[in-house]
Amino acid sequence: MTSFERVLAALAGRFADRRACTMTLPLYGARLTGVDPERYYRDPHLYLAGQLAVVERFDPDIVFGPFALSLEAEAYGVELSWTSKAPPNVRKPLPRLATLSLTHARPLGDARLAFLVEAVRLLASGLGKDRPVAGILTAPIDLPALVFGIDTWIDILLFDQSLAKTLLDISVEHFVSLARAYFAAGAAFVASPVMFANPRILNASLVESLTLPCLSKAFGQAGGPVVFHHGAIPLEEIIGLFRGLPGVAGFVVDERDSLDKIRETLGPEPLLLGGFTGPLMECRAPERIVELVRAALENRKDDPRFILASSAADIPWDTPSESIDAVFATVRSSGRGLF
Amino acid sequence: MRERLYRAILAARRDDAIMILRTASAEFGYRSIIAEVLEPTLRLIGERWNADSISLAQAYVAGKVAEDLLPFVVDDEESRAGGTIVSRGTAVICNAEDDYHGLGRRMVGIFLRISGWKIVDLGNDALAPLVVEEALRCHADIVGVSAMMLTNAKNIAKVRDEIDRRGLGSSLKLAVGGAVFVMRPELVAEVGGDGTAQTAMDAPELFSRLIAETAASGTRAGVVA
Repeated sequence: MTSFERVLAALAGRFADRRACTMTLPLYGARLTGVDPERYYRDPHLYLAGQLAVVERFDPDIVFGPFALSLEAEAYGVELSWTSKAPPNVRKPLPRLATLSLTHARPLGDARLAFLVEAVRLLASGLGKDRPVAGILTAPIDLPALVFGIDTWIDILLFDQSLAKTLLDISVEHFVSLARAYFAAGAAFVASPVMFANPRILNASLVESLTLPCLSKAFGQAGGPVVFHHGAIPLEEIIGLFRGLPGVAGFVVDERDSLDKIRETLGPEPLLLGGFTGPLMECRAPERIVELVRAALENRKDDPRFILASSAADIPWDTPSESIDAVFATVRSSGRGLF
Repeated sequence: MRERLYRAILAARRDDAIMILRTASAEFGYRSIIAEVLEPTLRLIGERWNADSISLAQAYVAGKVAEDLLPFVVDDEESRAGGTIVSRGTAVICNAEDDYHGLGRRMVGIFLRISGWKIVDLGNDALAPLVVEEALRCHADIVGVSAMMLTNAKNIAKVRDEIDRRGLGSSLKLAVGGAVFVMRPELVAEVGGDGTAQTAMDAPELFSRLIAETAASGTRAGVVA
């Protein structure tokens, strides 16, 4: 059975030869190939080489395009900071005054956006027959936070809703054009971390009136399945808010979430992905990671629509490869996940 | 009054919140209203934010209200004290080297200022030698360093090293904070922090505790060096 068949089986609600398993390993490809992140996240061929190394070393069932949301912000003029062991980060958001000159989404011809799409195209050409390739992109409700900074975006959402609506329209345009470009490049689905639809971040009234309608509009026009990523925040108490969003095929959930409760709220249809926190792998003993993996597999043993996956952000650069091996070995030896 | 203020903040009615505080201050004085009304309300907001029962945006409004009130407090105190204000202490705050997530730091700065601290804010991506140099220059009691992510939080250890290298370990306290410390409390000791706070609203309490520790040891920054 190929990875593609395994993931499709999960989507269709059928058990496969074993549980499908993936981890967020975009950055780890740079480590495996010894490439500096600043080159890796600029050159789609280097990115492809990194992910080929990931596939050869770990054989995940899903491969991801670059998890570098800040590149989308850079397309709007934001300055990035680069370090030797992490994806780029926003160094300096644009001043609030720059909202005045922002009238349209950046064209896909922009070098940063073109890199993201080309990386997905190369991955899909090279690996897409056997395993799904996913494009990762910023949720439309979060793009202004990346471009203008979290506090400015909160301020605009709270105190200038006319401007907020204008920026959200531009963000939806950006999301839809990038998502469609990913699908045209061969992505099987897109994954989008979502922060500002969460009542832990934004007042519930604004989530309902502003950000949920925006997500609905963007996901509905994405042109393919969207996986809603928890954005490092537990979803258990609020996932019902997102149940009816159009185009959403699945949810990546937080390690702290109860998988039972999430499934109970969502019903049997959507795919669930999760099990353990990716960024904590660097500091956790392999035994502890295996314990979490076994617990997730045991919990979901009767649920065919579950994929064992790391949650939150990238697996850190310094994560011992033995820890990653331990995850995949545990899944491969577990069959359907029955212990 | 606390309940009215709390509700105004949660509903993002900044003008109403400021009106409540200014009206009461006209009768009872700013320091009294800050101590009896604003600070308890901020602590309550901090507790509920920490318990995930209110949003980051509502906590942000609390910061804006404190920030809005600050000029009135400063004007009032300057006019009554002839331009000389007695502060609870001096602190240098910044984001760690390579860290550019300044929201938490700015909120901490606002809550400390409204609590009577003199704050020197070095902004994002502050290098350890500069931070300690500035702390010495302004005779700071505490350095507060914030980081959002693990990779950048580890750079706080450079500030610890710099403090120790200059022999300031007992006189200049190192407060650390940011999302990663909430997720990984053991990191406070790992980077050499003297303490942390769960939320920005808890920072004044932490800083008061740290300055009390320094006072108990009988040393102050700038004196040892």
